[in-house]
Amino acid sequence: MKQYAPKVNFVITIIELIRGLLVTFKHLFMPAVTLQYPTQRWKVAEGYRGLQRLKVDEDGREKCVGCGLCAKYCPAEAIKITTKVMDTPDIQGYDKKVETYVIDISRCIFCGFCVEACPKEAISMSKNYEMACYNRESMIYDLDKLTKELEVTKYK
Amino acid sequence: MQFLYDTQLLVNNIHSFLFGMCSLYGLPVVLVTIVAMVITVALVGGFISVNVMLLVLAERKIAGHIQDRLGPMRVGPHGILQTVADAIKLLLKESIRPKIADKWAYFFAPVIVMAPAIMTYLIIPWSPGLIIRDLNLGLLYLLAVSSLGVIGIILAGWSSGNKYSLLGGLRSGAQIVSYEVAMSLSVIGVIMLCGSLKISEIVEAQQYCWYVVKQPLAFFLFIIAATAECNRAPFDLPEAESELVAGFHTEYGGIKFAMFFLAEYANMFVASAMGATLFLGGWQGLPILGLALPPLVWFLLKTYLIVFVFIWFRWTYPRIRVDQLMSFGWKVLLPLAFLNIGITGLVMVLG
Repeated sequence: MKQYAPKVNFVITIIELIRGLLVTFKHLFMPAVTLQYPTQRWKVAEGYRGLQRLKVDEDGREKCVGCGLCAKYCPAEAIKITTKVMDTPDIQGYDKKVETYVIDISRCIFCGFCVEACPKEAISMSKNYEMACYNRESMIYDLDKLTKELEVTKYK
Repeated sequence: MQFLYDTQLLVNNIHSFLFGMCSLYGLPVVLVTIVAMVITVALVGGFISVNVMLLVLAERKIAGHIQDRLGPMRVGPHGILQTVADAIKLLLKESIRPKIADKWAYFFAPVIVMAPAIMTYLIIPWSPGLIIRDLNLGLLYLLAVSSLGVIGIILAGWSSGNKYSLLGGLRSGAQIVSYEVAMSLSVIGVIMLCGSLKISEIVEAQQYCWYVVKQPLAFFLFIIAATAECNRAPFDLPEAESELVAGFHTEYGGIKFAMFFLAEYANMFVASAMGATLFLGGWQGLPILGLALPPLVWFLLKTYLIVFVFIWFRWTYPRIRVDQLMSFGWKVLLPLAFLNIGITGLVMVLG
């Protein structure tokens, strides 16, 4: 069986082989493009959509009024709100109070529609992207987890 | 550190001390010889272990830097203790054997691969006089003993009971045998120039001119053949990770795998040492730098330079296919080796 091998020019082969070696040698002295996670973390862009945060206003109350628009707009149905009507209105005149506000992080697709839908700008997305957990139950974030200050684990 | 500069004197002193002790205290010569042998074996074994750790780490770090990343960084400062951790892990693994594997062949194959790799350390010239045994046919011994490793590889491939391992073992055997022919022929040019197979004479004959200047083609062929001998890229199809799972050492784990690994790096060191000795002048130093380094340091520098070249080749070139490999070995390297011998002979005859 005749082998149809291409004609090889020896000199060009050797020159190209040496050029390949020089390219690799050059890369030896170039700085690494990797980050030593978790001691060095990536600096995210400004509009990065990470974990949701529910904002509080100056008096310490949540800005959320329980309208449910974020839950309605969520494409993955990750937000679940239950509200309660109080007997007496509170200081601002609202009588509807948010009882539970739960975001299921394992369902959330981090699209940011809830932020766009909120009429009171009560929800925003922070730059936290480290939400890995060991079990499904801890992926369900309720109200205090969403308003609490983020704590970033420090490694040596 | 002054003793490093004059190791011939050091070795003579140690010899006379040992045999003087023996005549003084009436100890039989045999006992002293055996003690000396045991110490030598321990030193060589210790050097091989440390060397393999260094080489594995160097390979991973250099591979990382060539690929614009950093290599191991976690274990120890900048990953220095990585190989120690790997060695401990390998030693603590359970030693299993496939049921279909041939029991004794499976057990002895790593030993048969490892033993010749260590035996070749006998004739490495570290320094003037610091050779374990300066055989009159040192070079022939080297070529002969390094051929014995093939038996172990084929046995390992066969006894694993795995078709892919068998294929890997056979391919490796064919490759090593073919490139050994090319390697031996490229070394013949050096022997012709020097007139002797004795390693210390070859090193001393390079006093005024290293043989790489007189025989560049032979050096080039030797480097290529040595990378094929050690089953290293770009000729590492038999043990390639993505081709044949791991080739002939697929079914081996734990200490047995550690033996194969050690043998490969030990072989690589010996091949580099031989390249440095035969072509780069061994322990001869260059006077141009002005600083007087001990000959041992020159030798190690040259050897590790060639080791670096091997590592550099591995992470630059793609793997070549086994039929391309065989055709390269027989159809390209062998004629070039003959050409080299012919030219050397002609030049020597014509003056």
